[in-house]
Amino acid sequence: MNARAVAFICLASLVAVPVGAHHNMSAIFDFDNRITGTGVLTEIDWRNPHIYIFVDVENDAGEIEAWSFEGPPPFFFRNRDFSRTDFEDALGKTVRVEASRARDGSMSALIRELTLPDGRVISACPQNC
Amino acid sequence: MNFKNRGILRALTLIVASFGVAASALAQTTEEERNALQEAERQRAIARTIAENQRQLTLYDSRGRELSEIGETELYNFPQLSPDLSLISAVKIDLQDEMSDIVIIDVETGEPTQITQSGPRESVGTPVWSPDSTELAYVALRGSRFNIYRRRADGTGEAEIVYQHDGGPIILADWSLDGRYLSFSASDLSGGRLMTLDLEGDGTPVVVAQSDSMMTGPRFSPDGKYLSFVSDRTGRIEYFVTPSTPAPDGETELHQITTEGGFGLGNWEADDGKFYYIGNERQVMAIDVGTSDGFTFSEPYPVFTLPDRVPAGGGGPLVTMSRYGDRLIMALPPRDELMQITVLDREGNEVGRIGEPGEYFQPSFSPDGSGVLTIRRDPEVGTVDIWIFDVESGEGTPVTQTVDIDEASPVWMPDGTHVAYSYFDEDFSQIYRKRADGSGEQEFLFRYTPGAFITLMDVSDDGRYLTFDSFGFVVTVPLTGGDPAAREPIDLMREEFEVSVPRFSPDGRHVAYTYNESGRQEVFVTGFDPETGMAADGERLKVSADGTIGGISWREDGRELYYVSENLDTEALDDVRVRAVAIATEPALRAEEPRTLFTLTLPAAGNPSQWQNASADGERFLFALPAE
Repeated sequence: MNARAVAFICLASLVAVPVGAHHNMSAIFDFDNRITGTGVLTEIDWRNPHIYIFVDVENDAGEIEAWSFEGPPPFFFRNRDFSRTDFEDALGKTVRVEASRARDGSMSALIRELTLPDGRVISACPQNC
Repeated sequence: MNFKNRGILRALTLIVASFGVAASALAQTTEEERNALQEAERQRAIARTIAENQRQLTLYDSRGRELSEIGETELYNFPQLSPDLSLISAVKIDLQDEMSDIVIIDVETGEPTQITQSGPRESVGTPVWSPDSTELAYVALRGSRFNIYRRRADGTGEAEIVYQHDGGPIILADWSLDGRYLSFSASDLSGGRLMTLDLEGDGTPVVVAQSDSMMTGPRFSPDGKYLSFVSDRTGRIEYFVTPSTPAPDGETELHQITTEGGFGLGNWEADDGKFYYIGNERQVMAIDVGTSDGFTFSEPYPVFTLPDRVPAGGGGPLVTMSRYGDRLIMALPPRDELMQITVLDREGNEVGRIGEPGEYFQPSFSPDGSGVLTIRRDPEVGTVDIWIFDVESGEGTPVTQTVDIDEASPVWMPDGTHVAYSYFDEDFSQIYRKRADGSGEQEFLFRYTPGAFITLMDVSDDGRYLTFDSFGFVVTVPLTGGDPAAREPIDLMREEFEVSVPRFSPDGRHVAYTYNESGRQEVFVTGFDPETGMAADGERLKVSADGTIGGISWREDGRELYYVSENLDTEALDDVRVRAVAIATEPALRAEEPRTLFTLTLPAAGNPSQWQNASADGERFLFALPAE
C-alpha cells in the first residue's frame, strides 16, 4: 500500500487516524478476532512506543496461559489520567482485557479495552480499534 | 504520505504527545508547574493546528465557477451536499476533546446545526445522505466499537444503530438511490473489503469483494447493479467497478476504469451515464459509463480544472460532487504561501536569498556550506521531492523526481556528496541515499518495521550510523554489512516519556535530543557509544531553557549547539528564538546557559523538530520565510 493510499484512508475517515500507532497493527493483529481474558497481572513494560502487560489467564481446560498484551504508548494513559503507578499497583491482582488476537496464533494480543482491579475501564480506542 | 497530511498527523501526534506528563524525581518542578507547562504546550499546539487546517466551505458549479462561500471557517472534513442541494453535511473536528461530530450547514444561510454528540475521544466519520435528503447515515466510534447509525438530518429524533462492527475502522461511502442499501469498506494496511448492508435485512453485511490491497469508497451505480471503488492494487490509487453482489462462483468481475490515478471518492452521475472523479492534476474527470447491458465505459476525459486552492495531488476528502453532478462543495484550506530560502547571520540579519520563491521545507546547509538541501513541493502538481540549491548561483537541482512518492526528512551524508532521505511505501518506512547532484540511482539503506512511520534525523560524521525517531523513541542503524536488508535497528533511547530529534555530535561521542519529562520538550545531551550504537552510561545533561521546538544543530567543533524555542515573551505562536549554548565534553560534559542569538517570526507551516538551521561554522542560519 503506498503512501498516498495511507493518506487517503486517514483523511477519508479521520476515525482511523493512527495517532500514536507505531507499527502496522492490522498486519500483526486481527481486528476481527476479538478475545476477552481475565487473569492475574504479572508484569508490565512501560516504555515507548507501546506498553506491554503480561497476564496469566486460565483457559477452559483450567490451565494457566501466559498472555502478553500490547497497548498504546505511555502518553496515551497519562492523557487519560492513568499512570504507570496504577498498573504497578495492579500487579498480582485480577484484570480483564478485551483484545484483538495476533494473526500468528501466539498468546499475544492488542488491547482494545482494559479493566483494572478497582473497576476502572480504559478504552484503547481509537488507537487500537 | 502527502506532505501536508503528514504535517497534520504530526501536529495531532504532537498534541496528544504533549498532553500527559507525570511526576518525576528528575524534574525540579512541582506537579502543578508541570501541569501548567503541559497545558500551555497543548493549547499552543491546538492553536497552531487550527491555524494551519481551518477550512472554508465553498460551493462551485459544474464548470468550476465559484458560487458562494458558506458559513464560517472551521476544522471541516468531508463535506457532502444533500441530493436536493439545500444542505451540507461535514465532519467537524474538536481538538480540545479529541472528538468529531457531524454538522449540517444550511446552504442559503450558512447556519450550522450539530446533529451528533460525541464524547471525549469519540468520533464520527464520512456521513452519507439518504436519496430524499431527509436522513444521514454515518459511522461513529462509541466505546471500542465502530457502529453505523442513521438519523434525521434535522437532528430531531433518536439515532438508530443499523450495524455494530466488532472489527477495525470502517468507512461508509454511499446510500443507494432506492434507499435500501448502504455501502462501506473496511480497509487497513493489510488489505480491504467492500461491503453492503441491506437496511431491510437482518443487519448482516454482505462482503462484495476483498483484496490484499486497499479497497475503499464503494459507491452505487444509479441502478444499484455496480459499485465503484478506489484501490491501490496497481501501485497507486485508481478507480474500479465491480458488481454490487458477490459472484456465485467467486470469480469477481472487475473493471479498472482509470489508469492515470486520481483522488477522492468517485461519483456516479444519476441521470446521464457519467462517472466523475478528480484526476491527479486537479482536473474533474468524466467517464461515460453504461450498466444496462453489462458494464461499459469510455476513456476518461477532463471536464474542468479545480481552483488553485484545492491541494494538488491530494485533498480528495475535501472536494465532493453533488448526486447529480451539478455542484461541487469544497472545504478549502488556507492558500499556500510561497516561501523564500533565506540566510541569516548570528544577529538575525538577512545576508542572502537562495533560489526562487516556492514551497520549501527544512532547508539545511551542506557540510562545506556551498549547497542547501531542502524538501520542495511543486504547487502545480503537488509532488514532493528533495532538491539541492547552489548557494552561490541559487540554481536548483532535483535529487529525486517521483510522482507517487513523497520523500521526507532529508539529511546530508557526512562527505556532502550524497544525501539520505526516507519515505513510506509498500507498508514500510524506507531510507535511501542518492548523489547530491541527482545523478545515478538511489541506494537502499534500511527498511523498518511494517507500518511504522519514522523521521530520519542524522548520519554520524564517521558514516557508521544513521539515526531516526519514531513515535517517542529513537533508534540507530549501523550502516555496515554487505546486505542492507539485513540491517537491524538498535534502541538508542527508549523511555516512558517521549525522546526525539537525535543529532550526533561531530566527534560522534555524544548525541543531542529532546525529551519531555518536565512537561515540555527540552534539549538534552548524553554520551553515545559508537561500539554499541546505544546511549552511553552516564549523565544526561539538560542544555536548553524554556523548552524547544527543534532545530537542533551542532557547530563543527562540537563546542556550540543551536536550537529553536518559542518566544514566550510574546503571545504570537510563530515568534521564536534561535538560541546557542556552549558545550564542553572534557573533562566532563557541561553546558553554559543558553543565549538568544536572535528572534524571528516564522510561518506556522512545517515541522520545526526536523530543522537543522545552522551552518557548520555556526555563522549562518537557514530558514524558509514567507516570500515578499
